[in-house]
Amino acid sequence: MVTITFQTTLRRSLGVHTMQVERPGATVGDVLAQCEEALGQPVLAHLTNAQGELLRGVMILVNGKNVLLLQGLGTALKAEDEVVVFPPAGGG
Amino acid sequence: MFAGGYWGKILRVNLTNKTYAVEELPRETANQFLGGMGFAVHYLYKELTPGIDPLSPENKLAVFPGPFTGTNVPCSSRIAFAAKSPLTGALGVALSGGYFPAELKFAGFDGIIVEGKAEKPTYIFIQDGKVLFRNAQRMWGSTTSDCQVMIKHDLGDQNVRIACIGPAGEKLSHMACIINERRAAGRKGLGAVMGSKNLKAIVVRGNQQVPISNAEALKEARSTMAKAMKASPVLYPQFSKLGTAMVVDHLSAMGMLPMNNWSETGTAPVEENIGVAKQEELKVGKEHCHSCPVGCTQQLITRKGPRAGILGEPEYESFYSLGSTTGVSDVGEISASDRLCDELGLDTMSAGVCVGFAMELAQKGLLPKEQHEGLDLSFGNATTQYELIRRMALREPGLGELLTNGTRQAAKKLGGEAWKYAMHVKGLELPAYDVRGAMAHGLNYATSFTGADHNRGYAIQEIFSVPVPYPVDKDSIEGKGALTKWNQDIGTGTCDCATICAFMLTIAMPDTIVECTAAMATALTGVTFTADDVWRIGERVNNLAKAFNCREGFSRKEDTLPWRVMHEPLKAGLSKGGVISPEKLDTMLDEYYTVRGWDKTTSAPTKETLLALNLPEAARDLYGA
Repeated sequence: MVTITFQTTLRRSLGVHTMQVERPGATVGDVLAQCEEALGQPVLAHLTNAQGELLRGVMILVNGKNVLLLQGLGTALKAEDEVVVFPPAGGG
Repeated sequence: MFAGGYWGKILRVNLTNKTYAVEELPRETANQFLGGMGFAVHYLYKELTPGIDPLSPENKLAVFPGPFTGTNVPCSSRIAFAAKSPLTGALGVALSGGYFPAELKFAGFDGIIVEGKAEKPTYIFIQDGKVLFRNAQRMWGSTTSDCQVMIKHDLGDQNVRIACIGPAGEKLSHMACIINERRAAGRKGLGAVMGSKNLKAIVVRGNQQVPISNAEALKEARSTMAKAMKASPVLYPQFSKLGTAMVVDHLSAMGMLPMNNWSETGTAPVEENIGVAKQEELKVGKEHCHSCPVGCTQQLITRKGPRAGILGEPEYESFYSLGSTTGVSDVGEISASDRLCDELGLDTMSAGVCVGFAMELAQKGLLPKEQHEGLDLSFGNATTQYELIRRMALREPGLGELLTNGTRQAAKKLGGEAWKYAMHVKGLELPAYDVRGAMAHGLNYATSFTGADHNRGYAIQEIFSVPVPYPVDKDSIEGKGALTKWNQDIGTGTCDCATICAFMLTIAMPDTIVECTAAMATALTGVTFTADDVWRIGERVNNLAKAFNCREGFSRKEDTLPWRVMHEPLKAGLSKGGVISPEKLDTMLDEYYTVRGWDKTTSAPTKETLLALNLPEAARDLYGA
């Protein structure tokens, strides 16, 4: 099972913190689309622009590694992978 | 002499003689340093004798807004206060916003240099080119809000803008800040420099419109900036509604919000108690700085308990320093403590870190029970925190006196192992990011000329995954020397010198801010600035500031991190296991010094580097003729 954890404003707007998905071999994008289906509400719209590219400042970590340094939404996932999703933020 | 932006006038005030002079701003200085922090570093390097006591009349207070300040360039009412810092012994700079910066420009000056020491408590009143020296005996001892009320009454003018100190500055606390309206030039103890000069306040009033060289070109450049601001998924949709403290949730989720004096970071989420949802329950309004369409300052009112009724404006940093690192987990209490610091004129960040430090020392038995003065020094005790803030600000004998000059001095006085838990770099307490989970952010704390300062080289790439100039692995040390130089120089050139709000860089336009700054500076001033010039100015100012510190005896050994950050890995959370070991720090420092053109042994800029940056005076000072 791949575990997906939504953080901060995304967690609040989706009303869910953690989900598990049975999709070995799927990509990060596939899994997020599956979450969208399961939740019945948009997920990727919080994270991507009209061209489907990740918005600046989105942080998606797969086992702690930023997908910007992997294959972005196309990063393939293995069973037991842990995905953490942060929507864009700023301040501090 | 200047077609716009600058008045070409620097005001020099001598408090000893009660005299002032208006000096010309040389065009060369504007070209080389742009304004704000750049001007402050330039003048202080030139005029301060190495080795002076920061609290002696020989120290000078430099006060410089930027060329954009007072115009309709968005988010440009910023001002740099600078002096040799009593807290660090290094060059100290702190920037503030609000309305005071713009008003100083309306009064006809590009900046002020304050020298000497007044015989008695004094405030200076600057109005349309003239200066009055006024008796501040009545205001001495007042809080920063009351001081501003009293001065407005004294002058019979409700529209003056005031930068003043509270009791902490008068008592020469090394953590004393300068407050204008309800904004703060918070860090490095610059309030004590004012206090040491018997200077309670600087008051400005002006009616002059800052000239613009090429209004059409400025309009075009401004519209590029406005478009970038609108395009940001964060700036207006979130940040303008929630303010800096929106990232309490983010940093907590990343396992990087320091807890209990950095001993428990990542061990428990704090959002439920002090996150955005809780903050919203107490929100009553927001504030804007002059020329700012964003308005990030969030006003919160404490609704219950002994501090009920207090209106505060805690930033993210205070949610850490007066919250997570002292274990205080109530938004109202954090907000009230933040307000008390501002009223008494104490830096909220250093003050809170000192409280957390004392709490941990008490827990570990390193602060003997007989020194607790009847206070319960357990983490999380908000009443103790409130009381300690008061005692530190008033330099009361005992704990107040022990802590009021910061953790470094307190640890030295206490001896034993207290130093291991003193969370500072160069004497400046650490900001709200546990850098064991962000290597470049940590390297910036180690190398910033002002000490542990998140405003000098904020690593947006690590904290917010902003892929500008490129994406990075926050836990890797590879390439972090070059990245830290990039972060420091871009921030200095655009935010600190041109004085654009730092959130334009970190949130709205990291990819375009340099070009935009150059275009706006050119349109406004009539002096041609290219993007390369802006980069060069950032680099030049960081090198000159480093040369200032080298002249004061700073070397590589001061470019370090607290023991805990280097020896205790994070126990839990998303950044679990993170640590910046001495070996990692050394590797990053070597790379950083190499890309900067600094000597790896001494950390000083090489002669060639200084000459290449057109800093011949610094080259002579460090290397002889």
